[in-house]
Amino acid sequence: MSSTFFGLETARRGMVSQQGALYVTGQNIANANTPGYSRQRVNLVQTTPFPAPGWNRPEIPGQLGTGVEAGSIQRIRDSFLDVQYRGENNKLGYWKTLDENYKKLEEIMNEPSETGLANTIDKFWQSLQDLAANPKSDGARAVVSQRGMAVAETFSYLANSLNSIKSDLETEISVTKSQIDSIAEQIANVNKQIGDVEPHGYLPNDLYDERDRLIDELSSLININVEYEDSGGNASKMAEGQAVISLAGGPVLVSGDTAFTDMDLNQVSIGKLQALIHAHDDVYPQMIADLDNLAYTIATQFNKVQSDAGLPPFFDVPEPKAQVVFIVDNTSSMGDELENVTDNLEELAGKLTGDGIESTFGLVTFGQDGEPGGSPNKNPLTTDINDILSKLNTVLKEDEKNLAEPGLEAIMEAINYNLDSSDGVKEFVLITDAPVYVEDDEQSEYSISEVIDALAEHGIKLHVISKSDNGQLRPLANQTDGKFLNIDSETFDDDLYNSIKLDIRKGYADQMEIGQPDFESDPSDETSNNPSDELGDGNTTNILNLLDVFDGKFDYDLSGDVSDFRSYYQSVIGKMAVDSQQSGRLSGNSDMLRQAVEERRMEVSSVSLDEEMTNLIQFQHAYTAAARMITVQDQLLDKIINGMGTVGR
Amino acid sequence: MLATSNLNSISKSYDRFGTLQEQLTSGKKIDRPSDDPVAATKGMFYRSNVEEVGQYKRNLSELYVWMENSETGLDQTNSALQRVRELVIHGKNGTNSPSDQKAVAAEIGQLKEAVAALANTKVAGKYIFNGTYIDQPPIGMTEAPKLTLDFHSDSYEIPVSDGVKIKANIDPTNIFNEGLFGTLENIENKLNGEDSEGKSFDDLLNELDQHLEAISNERAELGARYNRLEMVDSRLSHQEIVANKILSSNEDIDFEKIIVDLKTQESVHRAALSMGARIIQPTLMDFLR
Repeated sequence: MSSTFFGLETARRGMVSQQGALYVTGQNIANANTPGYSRQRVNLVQTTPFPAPGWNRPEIPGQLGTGVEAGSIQRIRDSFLDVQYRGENNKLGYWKTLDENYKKLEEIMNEPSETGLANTIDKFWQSLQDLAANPKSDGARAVVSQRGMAVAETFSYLANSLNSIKSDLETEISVTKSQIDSIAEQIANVNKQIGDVEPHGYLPNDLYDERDRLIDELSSLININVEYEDSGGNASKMAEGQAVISLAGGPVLVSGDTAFTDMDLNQVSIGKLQALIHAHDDVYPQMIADLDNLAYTIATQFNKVQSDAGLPPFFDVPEPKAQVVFIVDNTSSMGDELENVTDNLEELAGKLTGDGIESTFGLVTFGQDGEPGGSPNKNPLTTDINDILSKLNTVLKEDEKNLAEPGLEAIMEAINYNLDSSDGVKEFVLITDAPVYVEDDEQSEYSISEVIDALAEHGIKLHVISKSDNGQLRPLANQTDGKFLNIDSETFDDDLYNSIKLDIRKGYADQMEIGQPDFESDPSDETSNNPSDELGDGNTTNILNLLDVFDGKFDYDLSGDVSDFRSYYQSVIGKMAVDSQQSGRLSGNSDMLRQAVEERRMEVSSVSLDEEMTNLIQFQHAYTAAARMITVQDQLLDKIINGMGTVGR
Repeated sequence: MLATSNLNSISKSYDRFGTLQEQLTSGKKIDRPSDDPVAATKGMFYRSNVEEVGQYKRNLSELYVWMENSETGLDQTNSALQRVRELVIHGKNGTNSPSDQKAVAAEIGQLKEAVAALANTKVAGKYIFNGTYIDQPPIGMTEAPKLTLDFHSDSYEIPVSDGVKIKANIDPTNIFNEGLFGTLENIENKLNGEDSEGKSFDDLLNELDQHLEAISNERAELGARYNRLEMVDSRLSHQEIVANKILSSNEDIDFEKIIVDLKTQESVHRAALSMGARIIQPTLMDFLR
């Protein structure tokens, strides 16, 4: 037999649930414009019917339903679309940032135009032509010197602007890193709050929305993977749990309520941060290096023509100087490689002298044949390679091959030479056939990353010449911008030589200047370096030779290919234009894709006022009907209580 | 959601407007190299080309100055020598009195100095008859009538094209040499009754004729070079036109096309705005009681 108030209770449950549904509809309407809001709906479920099956059940017909309850309030969200969105957002972050930086680069280079470098060089060429037609004209000579100064100033201005944007990028990179850290901490906080609510069986929809919004923001900065872990306790089956965010294929950024904020974010792939790093490390330095190549080659070729004619140099080019320190493993295991090494070093020195590069050499030898604790042997600096070569031939006692050696100590010892940048570019060459002792195996007091930091602090490039399978030493070369070369190669001196040459001309464009004395003095001054100074004042041979420099073919970027100034510059600009166009195109594409996913997401999760209105009517009528039901129950009860058993009253 | 996608489409339309407007105001198809990398690099090349051709044309005007003035100088020298010839023929007539002879000699002396002055012709501050030594007068006239000759005969060349140079001057030693002034002096001396190296008037006339022929030859050579110069000039003018044309077709917009595109874009834009308004405004709420 069911209870007296059975129907009342059923109707009451109906009213309450419909009322709850109305509240949820009201919530949706109120939040129709909240960004990141996912519409919520009530899951109405029937309550357990009466009676439950058992031995002592009442023999009443059927199982009576007992009404409805609001099972849970769930947000409508397709998590797969979220994953897609984050992927596209990530790519968009990368391409958009890269595109912006390329656009800035194009604006600085300002080609093709009347005011770019190409035009300045053209005007300089014109002024030399005019001088060739009027060699003794004071006016023409003054114009040549002014236009020459303009060329130097343009190079300098371009290099300067590029450098300043590069340092702006550094700031932006660190700001982005702090942004990432901050978002990670906020996500950790939300995780914690979610973790406080879920074990009670609730679904904290607003916190989920907030967390998803933060993760979306993070995805445009770096490439992340999101996974969810159970919160435990009495969590509902629909609970999402704690988010664990890790960098794609890498370390964990957020786990539970802790955010790991001291990450090495340089290993990230794709995303805004990566674009900034790429622009800072590759795009801008490449353009600066190209400008250095152009400026240095033009300046040195011009000066060569002038010196062939017995005149002082036109451009001010600092004397090329290099300081090369060889850090050599001097143990018996090097025996069979030593001859190749000495040959290569001798050839390197020959090439440097042949090019007029003033070189100073240093030598630090190390190697204890497997016994740690020995100190490296530092030799004094010398300009004669033969001093170095003679010391290399002392070989220590016989021992097994390829034991590790105290190479890191030797490198730190070489740093103690305290070389000054004003004496030339600093290049270290580590030559060994074995791995080195590191801090981790307790044979050394240094770790590889400590040594890399020390080298970076002094602005030193480290090249590593070793066996090709010696992976331990690769980071030393890669992270100091040096080369990793094979010790058995007969031509590693070529690579070293090219590296030294490129380093010497680094930063030249920034400092390019016309040589002294100052052109503004009397142009007929004997000591002036004006190119029209010649015996026979109408003789224009020197000027014509200078004009030939513009058309002459030189190896501008030490790649082995020759081209003339205009072709090389055009190819530089062309490459920049193509890269920029590509990033613009991909940025546009990514934006479209992201938008498409965003629209699909909104189709699912955003509030449609029409639908809410319809729901409103539905729930309102159901509520009214349930209320009517209560009235009916009330009348029934009234009949029972007040109307039964009143016979004869 | 409809509102957002509507907004996106409208803002894309504004983007297209922006591009068209940029093209219209600048007159160039590309705003930055990435808009069209190939056109950009070609544009740099064509620009340099146009500047080069312009510069070479300027060099040509310098050449014209040299050659025309050389021609004038030679012409006047020729006239002077012809006059000398007439005077010699007149003067070798035995019927003249010594004072007549002396008068003729005086005139010849003046003509000799006139020729020397012609050799020292200075155009725009440059001596055109002294090879590359353009700031030194070839003939020292401070102790006139005694003349010191110091000629240089190297070529003064001016570039007119890549690696192509044209000689601007004549070889002065073919004309204004010791021989010429020797002849003139001898004539003067003979008329004055002084020693003339034992040459007769006929000998001297022959020498004069040889000098006149030398001038003629030099003028012919100069004339040939002048023709070549004119050919180069017309070629460069043509090149200039072509270079400008290519530069323009590479970079410049087609005005009519841009304006038509703008009008089309404008009507598309208005349509998008009006449709958007009609779609996003009505909701169910307008129709429920």
